Amino acid sequence: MNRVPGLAARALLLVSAVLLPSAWPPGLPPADLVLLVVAAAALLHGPSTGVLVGLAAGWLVDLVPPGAEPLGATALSYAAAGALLGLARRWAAASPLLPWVATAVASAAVLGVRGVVAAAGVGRAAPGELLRTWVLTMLVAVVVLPVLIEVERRLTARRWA
Amino acid sequence: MPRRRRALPVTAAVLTALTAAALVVDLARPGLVEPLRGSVARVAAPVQSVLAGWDDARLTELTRERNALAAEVTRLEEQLRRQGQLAALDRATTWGDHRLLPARVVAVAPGTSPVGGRTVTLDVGASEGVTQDQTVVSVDGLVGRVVRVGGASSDVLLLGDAEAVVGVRFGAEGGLGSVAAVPPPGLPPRGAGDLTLTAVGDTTIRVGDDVTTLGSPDDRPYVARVPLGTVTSVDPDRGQLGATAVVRPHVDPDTLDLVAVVFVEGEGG
Repeated sequence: MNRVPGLAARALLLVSAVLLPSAWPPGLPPADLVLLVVAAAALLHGPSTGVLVGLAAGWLVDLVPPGAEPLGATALSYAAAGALLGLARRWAAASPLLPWVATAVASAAVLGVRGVVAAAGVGRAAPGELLRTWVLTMLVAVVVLPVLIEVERRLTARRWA
Repeated sequence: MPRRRRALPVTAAVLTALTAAALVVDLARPGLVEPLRGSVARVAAPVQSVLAGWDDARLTELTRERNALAAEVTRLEEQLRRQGQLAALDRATTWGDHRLLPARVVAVAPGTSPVGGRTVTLDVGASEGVTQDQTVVSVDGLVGRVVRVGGASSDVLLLGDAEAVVGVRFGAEGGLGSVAAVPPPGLPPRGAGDLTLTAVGDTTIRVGDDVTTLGSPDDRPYVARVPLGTVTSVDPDRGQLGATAVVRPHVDPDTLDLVAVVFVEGEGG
């Protein structure tokens, strides 16, 4: 059971998800591609994998310029989202719609944390902007999430993950 | 494999605890992780600037021999536009002898991190002579200041960030005040992107007053007399110490593309 290809594939997916928003047209809030990678891994492998992939994703978001402060906050919030999505694994097979719904809840949670923190007076967040990010993420998820889940499924089938 | 099955949750718990520890360390000693951020920036900068400029690269790639002339015209027009912007920027800088280093925004702060900061990354860095706390302007006015410098990229704290507070002059009389994104308590909520001007003295604020930067010692972090915004409404007097007003900044941070880093004459770079 060789896990290296699975780890490499996830790392590659995460790095591209973090770097791709640079190619996004300015003026449009970028979709949260990183969460979709976390969601695919968590929905197939459960909370522990969800937390680990979420931590890696958050550290990347925190460190790749312009990054976020304080270091590690995004990692914890994505780890929580990963754990949440991992708990939904049990029901994920019930309907093809469920992974999407679970991802929508997790994305809302991640953005909600930002909203609440801003409401508490640390940092700024415009509710309209958060809503637009969420809607855009969920639109992108319609296409990207099934592809990512299929990738995870193939990795698992080959006993790579 | 029960051992492996148990190992995964333990690893997850340990790494989460380490992340929480890193968070506490970063809050306690903010400068400690700068080398880490710097090395990531060095690796990511080339990829980001390629990704941010992919449309230009594709344009030249797709225009083969047949439409090479059309591409040339597009390129020249773009150059002319950029030249025009830079010339206008140069004219707008009536604030002394400054050299402007053109730069392009290659990445924006993620919208999902818990603390909503407003920062962008530029494609110029230490190799071009950029240092911390330099002013960044665009053709419209003040953009922000450099907070972090990497090898080939630098991060800019935008005007709308909660931590950005700028000393300003406003109106024809040149009253003193400060502009910040977060209004003092007790004021009505502001629209998205609007800033709050708090007057220091008893100069009357009027709607339509121009707001320009006051300047800092050695022109760091803000050089003087850069246009910042216009007063759009004045808050009713509630007996507070300084009068307050809503300022609409000239620069829209959401559509930033070409900006310039200000070098004060006599500085390196």
